[in-house]
Amino acid sequence: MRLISKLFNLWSIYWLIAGLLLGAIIHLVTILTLPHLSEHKAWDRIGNAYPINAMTILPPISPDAQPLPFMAPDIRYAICRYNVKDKPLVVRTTLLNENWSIAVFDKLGDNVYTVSGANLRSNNVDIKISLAENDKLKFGIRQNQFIDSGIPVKVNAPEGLVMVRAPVLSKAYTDQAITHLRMASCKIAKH
Amino acid sequence: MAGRPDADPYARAHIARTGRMPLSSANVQYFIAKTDTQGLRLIGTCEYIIENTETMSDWWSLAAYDDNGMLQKNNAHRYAFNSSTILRDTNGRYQIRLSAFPRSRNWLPTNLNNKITLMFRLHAPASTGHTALSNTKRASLPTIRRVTCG
Repeated sequence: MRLISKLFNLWSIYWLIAGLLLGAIIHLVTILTLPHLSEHKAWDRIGNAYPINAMTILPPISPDAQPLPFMAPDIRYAICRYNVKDKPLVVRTTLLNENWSIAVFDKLGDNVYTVSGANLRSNNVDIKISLAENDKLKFGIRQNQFIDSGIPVKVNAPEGLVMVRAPVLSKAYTDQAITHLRMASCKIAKH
Repeated sequence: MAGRPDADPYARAHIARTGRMPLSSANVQYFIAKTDTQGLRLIGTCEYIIENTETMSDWWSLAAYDDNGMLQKNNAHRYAFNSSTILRDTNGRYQIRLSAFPRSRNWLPTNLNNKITLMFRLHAPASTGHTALSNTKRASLPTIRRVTCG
């Protein structure tokens, strides 16, 4: 009886360890694959809501117009849904003050690149988004060599979102913010 | 490290699940509160005072959401306060009244039926990075005090 009891206890410990290991593996796999499998990502929520390679100014954020969770009601947003599969994209905007920013996100929601007004000497910013794999040498020529100005941003996946954030200090500054957001552009590069 | 390509897997999973598009923590830090200073869940049937003495020069914003991060409808159409719109006393101290019923000065309306989630955004463009931001600003976060519950 003692031998059986000992064996039973030993097996219990083995099962316990195996269970813990299995739980840890499932946990890790879930965490690592969630960005790929989740259907709640920003891209899944708004990816199809805006035209491709064009800048769209969002209406003021309110309970009736809030495309994503935790958007700020005192920030005005402009969004460009990009696709750089064939050609690079040029994004131009003005960052009116140090709190304005422009950010590039990939489909998984990773913030690939951010620059705020505080980081710039000039208020104007040019960003050239291109697919990293298109930048490889082809016949000895770098494919995006014609991009000769602006901040180069290489992305690993062709689709994503660019977001311009314009904090509005008070309602009096709304028109000023909108005027500058209207000047923002998001266009396929000519070369 | 949220909002960065080199963010840890837990931060990336959290962002994927919530559908947010946060900026890099070197530019903006986001602080979420679901409980008051006593650790009790923020709910619409209670009234709270959010207070702080403003020592920072960076632009901040505080908004109230429901449990899913969505703004709550209110007749005042007021959803946030920021460092430009807040009314302060002469010492730089401010109080925000979080209540479902109208209050004087800085009143942030809530919905009686909802749990409340507060988000405090701190724009710190002058900071040099995540660590500097964390070290210098954590002490400056506002407190949330429960006043009454209906």
